[in-house]
Amino acid sequence: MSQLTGKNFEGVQIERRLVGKGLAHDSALKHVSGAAAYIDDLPELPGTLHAAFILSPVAHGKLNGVDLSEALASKGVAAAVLASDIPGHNDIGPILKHELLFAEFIVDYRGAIIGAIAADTMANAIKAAKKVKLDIAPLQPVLDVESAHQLGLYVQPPQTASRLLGAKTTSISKLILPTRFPVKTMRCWCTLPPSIRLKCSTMWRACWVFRPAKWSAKSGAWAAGSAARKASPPTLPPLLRCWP
Amino acid sequence: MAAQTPINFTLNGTAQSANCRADMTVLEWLRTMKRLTGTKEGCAEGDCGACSILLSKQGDSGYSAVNSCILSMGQIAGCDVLTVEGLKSETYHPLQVAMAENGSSQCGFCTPGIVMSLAGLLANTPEPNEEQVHDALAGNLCRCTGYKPIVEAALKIAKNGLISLPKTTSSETDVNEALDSSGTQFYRPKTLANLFDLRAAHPSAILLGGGTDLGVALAEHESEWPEVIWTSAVSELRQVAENKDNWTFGSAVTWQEILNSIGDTYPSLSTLIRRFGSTQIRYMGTIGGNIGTASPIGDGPPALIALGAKITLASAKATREIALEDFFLDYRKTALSAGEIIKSVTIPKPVKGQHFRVWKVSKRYDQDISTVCGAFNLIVEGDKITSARVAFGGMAAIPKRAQKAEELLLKMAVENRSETARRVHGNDTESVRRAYESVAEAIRSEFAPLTDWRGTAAYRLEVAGNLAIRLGAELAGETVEVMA
Repeated sequence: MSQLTGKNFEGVQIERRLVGKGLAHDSALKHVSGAAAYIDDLPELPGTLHAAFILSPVAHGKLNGVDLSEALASKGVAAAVLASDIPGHNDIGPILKHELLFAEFIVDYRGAIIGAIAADTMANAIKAAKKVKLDIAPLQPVLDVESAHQLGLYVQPPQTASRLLGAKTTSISKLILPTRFPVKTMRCWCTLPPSIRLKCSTMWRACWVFRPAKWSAKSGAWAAGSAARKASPPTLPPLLRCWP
Repeated sequence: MAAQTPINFTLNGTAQSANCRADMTVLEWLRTMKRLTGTKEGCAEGDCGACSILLSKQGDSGYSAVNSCILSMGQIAGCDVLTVEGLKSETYHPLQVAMAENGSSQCGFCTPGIVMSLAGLLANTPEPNEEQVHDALAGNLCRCTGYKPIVEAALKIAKNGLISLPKTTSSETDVNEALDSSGTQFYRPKTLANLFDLRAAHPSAILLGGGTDLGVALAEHESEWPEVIWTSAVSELRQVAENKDNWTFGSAVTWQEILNSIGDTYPSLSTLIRRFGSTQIRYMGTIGGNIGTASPIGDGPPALIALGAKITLASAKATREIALEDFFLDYRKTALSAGEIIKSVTIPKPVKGQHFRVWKVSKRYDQDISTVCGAFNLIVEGDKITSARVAFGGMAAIPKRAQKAEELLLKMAVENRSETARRVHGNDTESVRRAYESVAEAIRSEFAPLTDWRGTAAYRLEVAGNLAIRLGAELAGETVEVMA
């Protein structure tokens, strides 16, 4: 097979072991037979809680308040988490920053994740998440890249790609990087402290785990936490211009 | 409540007796009760196909792919079910080997569903061509590998001919007429008389057909069905009758069966049916359900209204036939009175000089909800348009005829309205375009569509009118290449 042999940079004849050969995906046979185990396929431990997301019904708006009372009283509900419950930074961008875990103060797309409700079953969690009352003052949605550019609203800062041409640096272009919209197998499973074990199935950075500061609280404490955070909001990176 | 009745069916060749709610989805049962987790939940609305399994209904000899996420357990009593785990017996199915060798998976999540859809195709169609492979995959979304290596693998083994699946036994199993499962009463009447009795006794019961619409709420945990009357076992509603002028389809006849009956009689209609329902949806979804759900963006009604379809409504006392357009009264309101059901739909066969076109405009080509669906049915005799029927979906609260456009088409100048238009105009498509521009304006003047996330009112009006111009161009012999 000619494509599998060649000369290396020193001119020595070699046989290639990998280049030019089609190799099956390590999990290919598991994929085609349904034997590959994703997080949702693992046996469930007794007492496992299921989380459903609280989603924004509007494309762009000011998030003035979240009323969890009805949701927390809903059947099977154990807890709820919002951005205000995050002990550290509400930013999960692994390389490029400014990617919020939970929408806070502002929602900037329909379906933006505002928080999560944990319940004994997935069905109960979904039902409860739909009972959350959101106080959102709608803002004008920005629906395409061009108008966002004109308004100076960026998900990421504009980036300039450049290269050295002799002694001069020539700017080639400005790139507006849209956030990717993956449709992937994003789910994770974790045990709570004292022993955190985390399993996640993702091709993207959807994995998150933290212990809410007031895990046992079912009401009251959540609102207090939120109020404190609102009174002194965390310092925001100046690049997030879509924040009012 | 009566004692619980188990739901009996065959799974991967083994008899099953399931004790569960009849409104539990088959997907949930497979994954939680049987721990057969090869079948995945993706979109939970019968769109992505990750949950595809093969089903052979009672009395059917072959399998078809179906979406298990929107299929209720009550619907599979007496059926044969094959999951991805059952496809591999002692060795891998040839398709599984071909896909693994050809790099047809990346994240692998959609893969079991794709394997099942293609296995269904290969079991029914010896040596499918590329178009048939794509049609079989219209209800399966892949978001990382891309379809090329998948289609290649399917075509590679398609050369080997029919790849049989384990034989089905579905016709032999007897099923109770009522399944009293925990929390859900699932009635499976076998005769129309029985259906009427059940309707009278259980007025609040859900009337379920294929479940491709109602099943979505079930899959998304938005509803439960305490009482269900399932129409797909009613023999009178399953009948297909044909004479020289019409087909009459019982309301529980599926879209796949309709497609099999009409063949390529109305190519435009067949294309529409393939687009609004994948193989999975067509095997379950019924014509009666599509009409009865009375959605303003359902795709069957505008096409059938333009074709001049009639609908037969029946109750225990009487039967009446009305024009399909008279069935829709207002948003989700129909002409059905208490105790009445849709018995059948009668579709006229084409006549000499008939030109029928239906176009669905949606964001995605396959399996999407229409922004606008426009249907045009003209009969041209000599150089006169003797009949014009135009109907739209997505333009009003109900599927609706465009009467001003119809009147205009009937009055249009001779040289612009005949099937000889091409000869008359030669390549002067511009004058045809101008003539049909007036039809477009008529359409735009008689509708006041909504703005929603599928399209603004202005966009819908623009598109609906443009479809008339497209009609003119096609009648003038111009080939219109639009992927919608």
